[in-house]
This record gives sequence, C-alpha cells and structure tokens, in this order.
Amino acid sequence: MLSVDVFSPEGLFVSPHRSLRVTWVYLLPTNRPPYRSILPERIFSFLSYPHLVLGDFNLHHPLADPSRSLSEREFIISTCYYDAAFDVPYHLLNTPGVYTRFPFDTMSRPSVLDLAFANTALSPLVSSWDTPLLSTGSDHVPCVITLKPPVIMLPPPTPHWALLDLDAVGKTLNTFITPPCPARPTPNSLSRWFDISSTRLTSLLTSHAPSKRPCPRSKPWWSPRLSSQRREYHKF
Amino acid sequence: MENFFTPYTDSSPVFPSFPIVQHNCLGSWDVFLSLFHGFTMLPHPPLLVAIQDPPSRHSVLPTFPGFMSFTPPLLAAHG
Repeated sequence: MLSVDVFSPEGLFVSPHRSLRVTWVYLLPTNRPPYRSILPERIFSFLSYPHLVLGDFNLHHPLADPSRSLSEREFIISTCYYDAAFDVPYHLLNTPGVYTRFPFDTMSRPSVLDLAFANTALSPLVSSWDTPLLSTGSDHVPCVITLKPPVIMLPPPTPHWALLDLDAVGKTLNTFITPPCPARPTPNSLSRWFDISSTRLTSLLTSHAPSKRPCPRSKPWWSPRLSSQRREYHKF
Repeated sequence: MENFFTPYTDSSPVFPSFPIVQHNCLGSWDVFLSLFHGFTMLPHPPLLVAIQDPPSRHSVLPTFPGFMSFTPPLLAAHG
C-alpha cells in the first residue's frame, strides 16, 4: 500500500481543500482472515480532505460486477472491505459491470478486480471513471479516473413580479392579439397553438418585469441604495 | 532526455483536469511501456500513474520520460 499527498496552495479545483491523498493498494490472497494482505481498516479511514483509494483488490462483489455469480466465501471476503469503505463513507467509482480483468486462461471469467473509491470530500471532484486505453498486454485493463472542478449550476434569473411595470403592460396588452386558432384543430395543432400563445404572453409580461438576479455575480444583499452610493463613489 | 509529454510548468494555467491512471503491470516491461505510450490516446496525459506489480531490474524500478517516480523500498511496495 502506497500513498501520495498532492498539495495545491491555491486549493484543489477552487475547492477549500488544499490536499489530495491518492492511495493505491495491491491486495494478495492470504490464509488468515480477512484473507487478503491488507486490513480494510488500514485502507479506509476518515480523512477531512479528498482521498482516492484505487488498486487491484482481488475481490469479487455484486456492486462492481452485478452479473457475476459469487461463491459464499467470495461474497463474505469482499463484503468485509466494501462495508469498511461504506461505513466511513467511501463511494465506489467503477461503472458496475465494466470488466477490468480478462484472464489469459479462456476457462476463467472476466472480472472486476481493479476498484477505485472516493471519500465524501473527493466525490464532487470526480468527473469520470473509464477504461479508454487499449490493451497493454496485461490481463488487467488500465483504469482512468479524471478529477475536474465541480460544475455549479446557478439558478436561472427569475422575474421580479412585484416590480412589474403595470402601466406599460396594460398598454401592451390592449394591442395584444392571440394567433388565430386552427380551423380544424387536432390535439397536436391545438397544443402547438396554445404553446405559441402562451409563450408570446409570457414574453410580453417578463419583458416588463426586472430580473431578480440580473447576473450570476449579483449579491442577494445588494440594494438600490448601494447602487446609488457606488455611482457616487465612482464619480471621484 | 527529451520529455515524452510536455510537462505542466509553473506558468501553465490551472489544470483543466486531473487524470489518474491505475494499472497492474504484471511485472512486465512490455506492459509498462505499452501503458505509457498509450497515454497519447488520452485528451490530457495523466498527472499520476498508480502501478501495481511494476517491472524491475536489479531492484531498480522503472521510469519514463516526463514522469517522476515515487516509490517506497521495493519489498514494501509488494507488502
């Protein structure tokens, strides 16, 4: 088992965390419990910063390989490690059912032995787990885990109905005409007509209402008074 | 020695992504070299490569241009 700490003084992907620990393991079968060479508690422990655990675990478990029929022994051994991971908690990054080992012996089944786990601090930064590389001649497939900045979706701007310019809307509504209804309406044509009319009316109303969030950088504590004060400030 | 990949430098912009590759090399040099030459297929070369069962010669672990090796003593790596 080997760990490498990556330090980023400006924060990892604009997150508050400055460190990332990557631990890779190679579990070999043994004759004594837990029947693998490294105890699960040594691999999975609580860390307040991002931690990625990956490696050849030599374990079979239905969460990684749902279509494989397991022996009771295989299930008990692997569950010991998976439970240790989920208790912390760590999340399995593998796509279930994507094999990572294709044995040279054609009598043996492909399996999912190469696993990757991310702790809660790392999970938002995990973009993908994939096996995009060609065979290297090993019976294992290279696995690629990509970390990226989390995508933060800001809510779309919404109209501030309380500030709706009623005078202007009233004048415009007087001249508003709905499109002609289809002469022989079918369900589809009627639905289309309703959508067009509704969109035109909504657009008319929203064009006379200011947006609650004028831009993604707007602050909820900003006020008209601050706007006037900023204007005064910039005069100097 | 010329680097196989253009390394990230202090003047590089913020990493667009942080790819990490994991592979079991079965102690084979051929597998090791195939793995690193295969990185040209990736949109971004990996910043970290985690290898199980790396090849070795006279107790010296492998290196590849453009990458720095972080290895414990050889016996501990297999523990």
